[in-house]
Amino acid sequence: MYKSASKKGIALISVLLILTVLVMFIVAYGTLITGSQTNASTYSGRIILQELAEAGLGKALYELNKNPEWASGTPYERVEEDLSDVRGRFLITFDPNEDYCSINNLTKPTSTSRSSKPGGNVPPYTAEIIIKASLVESNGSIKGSRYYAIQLVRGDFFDKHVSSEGPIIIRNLYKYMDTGTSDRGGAIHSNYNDEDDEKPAIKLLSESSLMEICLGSIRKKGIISSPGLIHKGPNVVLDSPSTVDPPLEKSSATPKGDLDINELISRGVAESSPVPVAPGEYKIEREAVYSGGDGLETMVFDHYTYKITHNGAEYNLNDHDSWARIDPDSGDFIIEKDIYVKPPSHPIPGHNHDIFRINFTYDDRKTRTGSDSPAIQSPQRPVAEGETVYEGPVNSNIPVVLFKDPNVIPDSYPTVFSRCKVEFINSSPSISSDPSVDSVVAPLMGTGAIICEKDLKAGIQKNHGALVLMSCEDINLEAIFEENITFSGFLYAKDDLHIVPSLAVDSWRPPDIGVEAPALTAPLTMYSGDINPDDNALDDPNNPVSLDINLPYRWITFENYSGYLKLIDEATKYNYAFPVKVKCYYEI
Amino acid sequence: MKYNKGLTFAELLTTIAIVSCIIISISAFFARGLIAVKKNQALLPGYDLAKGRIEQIRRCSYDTLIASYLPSPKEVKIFQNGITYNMEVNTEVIYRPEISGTSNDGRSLLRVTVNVQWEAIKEQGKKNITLQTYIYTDPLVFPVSPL
Repeated sequence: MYKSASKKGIALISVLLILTVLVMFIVAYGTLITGSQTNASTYSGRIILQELAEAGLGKALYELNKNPEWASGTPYERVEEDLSDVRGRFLITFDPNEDYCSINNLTKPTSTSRSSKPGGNVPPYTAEIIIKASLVESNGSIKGSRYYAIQLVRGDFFDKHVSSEGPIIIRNLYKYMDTGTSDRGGAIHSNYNDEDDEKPAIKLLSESSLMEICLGSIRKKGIISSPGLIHKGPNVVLDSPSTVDPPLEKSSATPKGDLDINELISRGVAESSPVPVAPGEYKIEREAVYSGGDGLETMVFDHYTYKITHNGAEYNLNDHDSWARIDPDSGDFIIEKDIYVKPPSHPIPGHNHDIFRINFTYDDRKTRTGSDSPAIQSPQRPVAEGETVYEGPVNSNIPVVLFKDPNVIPDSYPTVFSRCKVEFINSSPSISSDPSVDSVVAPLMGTGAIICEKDLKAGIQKNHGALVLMSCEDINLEAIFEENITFSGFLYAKDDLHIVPSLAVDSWRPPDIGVEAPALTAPLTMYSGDINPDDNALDDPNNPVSLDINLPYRWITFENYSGYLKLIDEATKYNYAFPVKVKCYYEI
Repeated sequence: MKYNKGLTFAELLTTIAIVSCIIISISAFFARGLIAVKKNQALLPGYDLAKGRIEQIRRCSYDTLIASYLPSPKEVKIFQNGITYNMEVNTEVIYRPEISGTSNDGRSLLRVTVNVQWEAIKEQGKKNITLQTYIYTDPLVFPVSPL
């Protein structure tokens, strides 16, 4: 009986077993299908939301590239647009009283904090756009929303002191120091990549003495990077023992924004109505005037008189809206106003309309006892948060000075817009030790901008101001190292950029033992676009150079300086639509 | 003994009948699941194709965009995973570049709508999805890239 009873239950047990397996299978299958449906729905929803956020970003980029100050003030901008085809909408609000507000700090030298959600600071010269993307039901209610934060940076802000699209050569220095920012080491970057892998993209060379390159510290690694070859000469040492060796790395190219200099000139000229100045050579001569006494032997020096000729004809600055003046004591040529140098529509035969040249014929800079020219005594220099301020009297060879009296026009700097070559020279017979040289560069000082369509040639010397020099072609700077130089600003050459020794100084030799050689402190960013790779100063097709730093026996120390952005803004009268680039993009 | 064996066979038949009933009753569920899987297999590549096309457009300069996508709509057929996708791209210029003399600032804003249509399962008929966004083009030589 017992055995029979056991067999009787087999159907129930079988059914239960099969049902159990079946239920498990169904549950697993159902879970898979539901998961697949959920994933597909989430994926498609997310793609739609991402595109909605991209739409908001596109709108913001358009507005910011048109006007970098868009939505940076009151009344607070609020952009809300429906994209009806996908039943979606994006919202960008700049109202600080609302949560998830965006902040445009692109033209501000200080950071801005957000008191509402999600908090945090927006650093100087950046923007944070927060976009709320929403899916909308047919009845208008919100089906789902996501927030996307996008960090935007200025395309004219370079995060490396030295970068180039072409080959870089750094040579003959005593020491190259770039310790980077608080969170990363220094960097040298070239995008040059020789197809045959023969010509180096970055060359570090020293012909005789030892050259030390310091790019990092124990905590921050410096980097020398390029997709091409990097060559280090035998006399070159990377870093001192106290720092970590920076790696010589091959990296992918990181192209920079292409700044439109022609547009900068057009916008600046349209906005500031600069004084029109004819191209050609402005030659400045000086004559001492004596007084008193009965004869030449007893005459006492009284003052100097200055004579300017323009292409050989007498030129009176006062007759031309006083765009510049000559400091009567020192002989400095001081450009006080925005000027626009443009070749005439009807060229005069025999006149050189391709160049704007200031030519000094005297080389002894005189100053009254105990005081320098007010123009360069304390040049104004815009600074951003945390940057070093340089102050103090500055002496120099006879310079061209960009200067506006801050008491008359505060917070303003002169700009030279030029469609011609710009060149500052000194043709005094005594200035060069080399008799075969009939002129040398004259230093450029003060604070302001020179934005030119052709080559730019000038000297740098002991400048505590700040200069933005931009050229569609080459920039050739000669360093006049009689004493330490502090050169702040921004050097942007569409083609080549060269910083080389000046012929005016014959002390390009190793310093005496125990004597420190003059150094270059450079709160400076330099970039070469190398738009014409066939043209380079070394004139050697096997040795192409786009950016050349050749300062024998000198010490160069790079420092961070963001104030040049304000200078560019001011130089183009805040009408400068710099490119705005996306740095990073993430979902909150 | 014979009685017992017969009962077992009957029980077996009952079991088969019950299980069959259950399977038949849930077969619709399985079928729907398979259809859903098939639908997703076609849906996700559809979104990818639409997004891919938008990304492609985003990398173009204004001039290329105008030459390639205007007048709208532009239709493309793409065969993928055994399914033919019909893609329709509608491009509308919201802001044109400013032209001053011969120079063109290149900055523009376009509304791009990509509609993708396909038929994965005949019973379901044609399916379609739509993505829409704004695309900003700028005059940079290089595409916008992270620093």
